[in-house]
Amino acid sequence: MIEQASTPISVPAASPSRVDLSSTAQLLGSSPRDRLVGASPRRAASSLPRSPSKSTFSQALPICSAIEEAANELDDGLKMNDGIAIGDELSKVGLITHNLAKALEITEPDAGTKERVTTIINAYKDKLTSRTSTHMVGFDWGNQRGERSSCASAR
Amino acid sequence: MIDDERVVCRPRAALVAPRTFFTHARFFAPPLLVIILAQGYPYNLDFDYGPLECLQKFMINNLGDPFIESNYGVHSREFEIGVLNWFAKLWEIEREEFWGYVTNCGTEGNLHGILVGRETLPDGILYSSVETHYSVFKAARMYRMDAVEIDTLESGEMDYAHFRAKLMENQDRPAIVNVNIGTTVRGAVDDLDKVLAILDECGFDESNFYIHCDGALFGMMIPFVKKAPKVSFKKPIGSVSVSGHKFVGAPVPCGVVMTRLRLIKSVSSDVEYLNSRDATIMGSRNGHAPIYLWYTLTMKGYSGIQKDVELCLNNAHRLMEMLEKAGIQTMLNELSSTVVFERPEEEAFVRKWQLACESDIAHVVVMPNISVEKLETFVKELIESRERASKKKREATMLANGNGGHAANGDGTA
Repeated sequence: MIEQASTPISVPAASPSRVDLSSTAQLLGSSPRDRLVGASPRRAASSLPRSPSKSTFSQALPICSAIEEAANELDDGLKMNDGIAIGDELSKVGLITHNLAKALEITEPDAGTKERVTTIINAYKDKLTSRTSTHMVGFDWGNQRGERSSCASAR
Repeated sequence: MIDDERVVCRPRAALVAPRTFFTHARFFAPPLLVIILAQGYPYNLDFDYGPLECLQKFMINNLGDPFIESNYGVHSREFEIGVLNWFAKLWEIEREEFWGYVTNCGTEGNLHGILVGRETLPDGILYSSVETHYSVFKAARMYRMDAVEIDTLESGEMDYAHFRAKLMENQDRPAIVNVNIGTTVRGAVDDLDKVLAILDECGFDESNFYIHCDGALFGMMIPFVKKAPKVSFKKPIGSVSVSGHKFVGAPVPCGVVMTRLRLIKSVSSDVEYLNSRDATIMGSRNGHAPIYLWYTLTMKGYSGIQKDVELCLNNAHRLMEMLEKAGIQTMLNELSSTVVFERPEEEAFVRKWQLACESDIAHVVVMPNISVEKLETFVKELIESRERASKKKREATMLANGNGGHAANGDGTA
């Protein structure tokens, strides 16, 4: 492939910033889009039923047991099917409703406001901590106010 | 309740706008000169989000519709809807009748409001004044809408006669009107009631007009000012947007847009990947921003915001008086905390106060974090700067005349 690429690729003079992908593809023997097939889980999934299920996500992924395992975990952790059911119901209605929306109501401040806010923020933090337990990411920005962050220390 | 608590303005400030100065200034495009007192733009820097620092380590993302929970669990929809409910009360719309979200900025709010307008009236023409924020005409370009610029009055407010004339020229097509609730440079407020009356006079009804109110900064202040035209969904408007980081204040840019639930259907589609509905401009949405807004609104409430508004309007009047006393040409719109004045000549002064300059006028947007002491320092330094600039000019003239000023004094032509 590298050898073939040494052949000059003509770029139309009128649009110098655009590479003609079709002519590039011809030189390489296939269209760029074709060469992506197989590497794209989304493309592979396009022939599958639209409603994702626990198995759909896993099937759409390339063969890699570690990723497949993680996908299963993700499917379980987030209860994707339940969510879709809600979405389906909403589609039937045709309009979103506020029935599903939980709101932290804002009331006029009083003597107990500060305490209430602190309680809510702490509870919310715990909730997020619990929700991130299935995350495949992790970072720590450190104390933004005073201490040097781990990022700064690394330098 | 809000009505009763609204601020009673101090006696109307005269529009101190010598015709030659401001009429001349208006012809410069794009918008004139932007000078905002101390540390840049109209942002309320008076905030402390220390108690929220523990949330910094989370990637909070409200992707998709605020009212439909996505599969991504680390979101702040509860806070977002709390904030929206607060604004719904402010703008007088029932919870079951509105839809909205916390945006990434005022521009996103405008892009969304105008998109809803266009989807509701696909053949509509966008009308907005020449002093409108650039994002409104950007929306027209992005959505390939026909747009008509309306002239402004000296105050920066829409020229209603011109608006009427333009509507009459295009009576066969729906009108999508952007109403400025405080223009960027002069803080001028278009009269929503007058706009509605003109639409009616020109034969437009709710089936063929849509109004978006761009509230950026003053959308948060106007509801608390007694004499101001009321922005309310009880009137036939389609959407309202405001910036969150301006008057409320936040460490990240943000805003709020609100529209009618029945209208949002036209821009919505279910997205399998999100397991939510796509009705927003952005996909991923900053989940920290609603928490910041919720925090401040909870701690301050309507009464706290009202106090801030009163403080800003009073301080703006005070600044205008100080500038006038110093002999500096000044203008202050009655409903605004934006004080417009002559552009300072010294670049060093401009840099020190972080001023963005264009053409020959400047403005100061008095925000809650701007104290009287800071205003006094600003005016004092402005006077000193003007004196230095004036002295330099005199010396340059003398040098140009070649004899250190004797000629100037001698022939009287300097």
